[in-house]
Amino acid sequence: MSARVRILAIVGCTVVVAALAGTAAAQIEDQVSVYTGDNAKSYLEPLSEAIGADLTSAVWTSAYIPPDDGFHLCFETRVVGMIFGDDMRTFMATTEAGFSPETTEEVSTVIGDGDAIVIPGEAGTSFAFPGGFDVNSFTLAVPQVRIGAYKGTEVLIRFFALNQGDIEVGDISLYGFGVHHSISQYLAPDFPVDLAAGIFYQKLKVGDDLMDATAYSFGVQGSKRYPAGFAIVEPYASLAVDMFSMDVSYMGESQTVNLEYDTDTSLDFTVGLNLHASFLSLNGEYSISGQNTFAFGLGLGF
Amino acid sequence: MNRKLALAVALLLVGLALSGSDCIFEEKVVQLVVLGSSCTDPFDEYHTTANWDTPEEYDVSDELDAILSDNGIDKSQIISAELVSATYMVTDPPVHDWTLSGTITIRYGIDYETIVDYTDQSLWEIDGVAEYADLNDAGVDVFNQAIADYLAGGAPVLEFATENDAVGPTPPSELDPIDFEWVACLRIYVIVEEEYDWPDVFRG
Repeated sequence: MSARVRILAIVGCTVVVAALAGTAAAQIEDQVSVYTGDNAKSYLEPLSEAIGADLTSAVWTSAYIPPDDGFHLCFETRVVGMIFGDDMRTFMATTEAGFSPETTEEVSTVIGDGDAIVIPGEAGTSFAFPGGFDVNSFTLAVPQVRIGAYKGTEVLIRFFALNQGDIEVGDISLYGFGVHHSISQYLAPDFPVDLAAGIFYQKLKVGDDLMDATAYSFGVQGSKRYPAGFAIVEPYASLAVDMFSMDVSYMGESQTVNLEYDTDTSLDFTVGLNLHASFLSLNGEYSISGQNTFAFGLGLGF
Repeated sequence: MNRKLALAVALLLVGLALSGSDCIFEEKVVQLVVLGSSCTDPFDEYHTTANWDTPEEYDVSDELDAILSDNGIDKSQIISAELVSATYMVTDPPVHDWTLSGTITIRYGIDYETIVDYTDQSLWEIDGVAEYADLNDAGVDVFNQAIADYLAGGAPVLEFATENDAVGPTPPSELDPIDFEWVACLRIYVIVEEEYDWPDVFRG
């Protein structure tokens, strides 16, 4: 087995930890079980936005697809992060569970301050709003495989699965499939940049029902390769329409609570830079969308 | 191993190391809130007069231990716990409707207070329907004191009792006794503090 194949095998076996560690996800379920309806939806809203933003970022990082039909394979890891704004740390929640008087209070979202807020009620009763997990950013790291090319077309596959064992959250799985097609092949050879378009579908599941998220991304990319000694520097930009929806289901105090986050459609503009050296590539990018994200990645391929 | 290959392996190993290192994971402390509900054993009421006194024991330790167990909480993690609300509900209705007036009292040691006043309460209206109770300060204080004693390591036992003093539209009698069952349920919040590691790559 050659050294190159050995390295590719290592990358193929690498599983970078997904952001939702099992214990934290179980505790999120405990927290949100205090809430029902609108309270629960608002409490989890930052998480929904972060997952949607991260999943639809750093999908296609180059418009260059080899013009000749031939097999190429690249194992890539993408790490995408979103920094939460201060306005996402609190929301207006209303007391529940028959507490009197019904009171609306500014309290933590899932990413807000960790302290619970206790408010007094009638006749010496009290109600406690849960704290958040005091998080500044949300990061997803996913492996993916890019395979091509035929008639200027390559495919992208994402797959990640983690069996949590006895932890109450259950399994975490992410899978995605997309197609990337070269527009440059239809243009004049001296067209100044490479152009391509792509479509990508993803599904993220946590546990049997705890979280079920779906993301679509449709976009066009432009890039340009510049030789730089032993490497190639490739700046790129992309414009995409991203769609994301999420369902959350958990056991409340006495019944199952189902939350539906309606499909959110956003326009995403990205600028980034690739560095290619033999079979190694590195990239970094910044996306401007409903929620801005950073991403960096590593790829090994031929 | 050539230079380029060594660089690739080094970068990959750095990535693997970072995924499990402290520079990505940050220790977080969060106050979890659990909302628990516990109910008394059914009050079994059979009376031929309008006035009665029906006591029912409520073991605070057993009930709170069950709430903690259901939620995987250890008592040592609890920061605070108090009463949020209370309900009462008829579980076995009488053959015809009655309206009741009286009080529900709470006894804990030498403390004896009214916790609920009820006036013209229709039994059929609360058949299978939990009615939120209008609570009294003094009675709630007794209940919260029992919770505090439990958290301090005690094993408090309370006694709830209905002290009914009026029945409508007509008082029960030997020929027309009032016969029903009901339960009282209490909702309690519990605040628990836990630590865990969260991957906060871009933390401030």
